[in-house]
Amino acid sequence: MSDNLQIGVSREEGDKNVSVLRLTGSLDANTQNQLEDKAKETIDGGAEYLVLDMSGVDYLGSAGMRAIHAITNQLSPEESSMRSARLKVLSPSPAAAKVFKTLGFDSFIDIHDNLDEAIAAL
Amino acid sequence: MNAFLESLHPELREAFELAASRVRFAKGQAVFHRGDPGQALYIIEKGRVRIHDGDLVLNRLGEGEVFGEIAGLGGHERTASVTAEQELELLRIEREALLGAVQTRPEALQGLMKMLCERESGLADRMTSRSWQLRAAEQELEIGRRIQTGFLPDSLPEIRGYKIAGHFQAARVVAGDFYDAFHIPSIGRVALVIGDVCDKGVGAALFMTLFRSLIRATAQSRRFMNWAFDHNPANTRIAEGQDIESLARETLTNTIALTNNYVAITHGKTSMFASVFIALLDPETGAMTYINAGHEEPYIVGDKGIKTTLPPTGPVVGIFPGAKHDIATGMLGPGEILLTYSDGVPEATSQSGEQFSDRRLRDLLDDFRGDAAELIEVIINSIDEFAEGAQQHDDITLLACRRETG
Repeated sequence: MSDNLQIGVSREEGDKNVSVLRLTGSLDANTQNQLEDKAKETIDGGAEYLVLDMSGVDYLGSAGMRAIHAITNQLSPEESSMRSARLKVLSPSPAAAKVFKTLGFDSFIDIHDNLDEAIAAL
Repeated sequence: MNAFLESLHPELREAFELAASRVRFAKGQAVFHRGDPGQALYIIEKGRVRIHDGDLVLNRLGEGEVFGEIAGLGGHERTASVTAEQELELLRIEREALLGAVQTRPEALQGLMKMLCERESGLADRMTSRSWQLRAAEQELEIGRRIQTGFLPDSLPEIRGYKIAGHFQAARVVAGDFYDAFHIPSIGRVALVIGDVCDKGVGAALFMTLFRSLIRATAQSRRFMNWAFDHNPANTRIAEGQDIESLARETLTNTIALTNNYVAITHGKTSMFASVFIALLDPETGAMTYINAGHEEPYIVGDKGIKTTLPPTGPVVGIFPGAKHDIATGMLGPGEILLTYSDGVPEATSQSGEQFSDRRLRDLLDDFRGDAAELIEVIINSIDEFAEGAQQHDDITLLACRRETG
C-alpha cells in the first residue's frame, strides 16, 4: 500500500468539456485534499464533467469517498439528486470497487469499463 | 540599504557586504529545501518568503528580515524549507566569505556574536509562546476527548441470557467511530449499533456525536417522549394485538431514514457520512431485524466458526437524501456471537505496512470459542501483536453480543 497519490489530468476532445483525472496510489484521509484541490483547479479551469480513472488506486478509504462526493457537489451545486450526472468512475481497481459496493456508492455514481462509454454516459 | 544591515556595527556591515551577492527567485520557487547543506544566510531585499516543513508553515518573512542563519553559519543541514511567495530579491551571504571577512575585523566578530545571540533569544521567545499555544490546543482536544467519551454508553445493557461487550480505540485524540447498545422498552427489543464516520479527527468526532444522538433519540423516541413511564427499562408498553415485529421494523426504518435525511439535508454540503449497522434483537428468541447502511459485514460466529455474515442492505447514511434501506433478518442461536467491527480492524497495519486483513480476522473467528468480552480481547491482542507498535491510521471499534447456551 502506497502512502501517496499521483493525479494526472487530461482534457478529452469532443463536444463536452470533459477532463479525466487518473489517480494512482492511495486515496484516503491523507490524500483526499489533494484530489479535491486538483478537481477544483480542473473545474475552475472550465471542466464541466469529470471522469475519475481509478484503475491505479490501491487503497480507497472512506475519507477518499467523502472527497469524491464533495466533487460531485461542486460539479452540480444545485442538484441534490440520487445520481451523479457530471462525474463517472472508470475501471476501479478491485480494492476500490469493493469499497464502492460496500458503502453503496455504486448506486450513486456510475462505474464504466471504458472511457468512451463513460464519456457517452455524461 | 536595508534596515537589517543598517542595524549592524559598521565593521560587520562591511564584512556582510564583502560576502554578499544578489540573487533572485520567481514566485513559488524554492530558495532551499529542508535537508540541503547550509552554506549561506539570506537577507530579504524585496518580496516575501514562507518558511515551512512540507505543508506546515512555520513562519513568513518580508523585507529587511534574515533567514537561514542557523544552518548557514553552522554549516549543517537546513532544518526547514524556504519558498518565495512573491518575486524575490535576496542578499546571499556566503558562510566562508563572511567568516574570512570577520577574521580581520575584531569588531565585526563581536557584532556577529551579538547578532546571533539576539536572534537566538528572539527564537526562544517565539518557541515558548508557540509551545504555550500548542499546550492550550492540546488541552482543548483533551476536553473534546472526554466529552466524546460521554457519547459512548456508560455501561452496556444487562440482558438475561446474553453478554454484550464493546471496545473503542481512537487513532487520534478524538474519533469518528462509535458503538451503542440500549433497551427499547416500548417494543421489548435491544438495539445494537456500530457506526463509522468517514475521515478522522475533530471533524469526524463532531459528526460522530450527531449521528449517535440522532440514532439513539429516534430509536428510543417513545421513551424520551414519555419518560415518566418508560425510564424504567423493565416496563414495556405493548398494546394487545399489536404486531411487535412490524413495530420493530418501523423503528428501524424511521431511525435510519430520519438520521440519513436530517444529515443529508442539513449538512449535505460537508459530504460527511457514516456507515451504520443497527440490529434490533428480540432477547426472547434471538431473532434480529437489522439495517446495514454501508457498514463492514458483521459476523455471526458459532461453535464451528463463522456461520454467516450480515451484508449491507443500503448505502451509507448522511449524503443521499431519500436513500432506501432494506430490512433484513438474522438469528442468534444459543452459544452464538454477533460480532460487529469498524474497518480499522481489518485495516490495522503492521510496521511493514501490511494490513491485518479480513482473512486474518476470519481465521481467528473460525478458531474462537468463548464469550463476547473474550472475543474482543483476542482480536485486540492479535492486532497488537500484528502491529508491533505501528501507529494506527484508523479508529478501532468492536461490539459483540453473545447468546448464552441453555
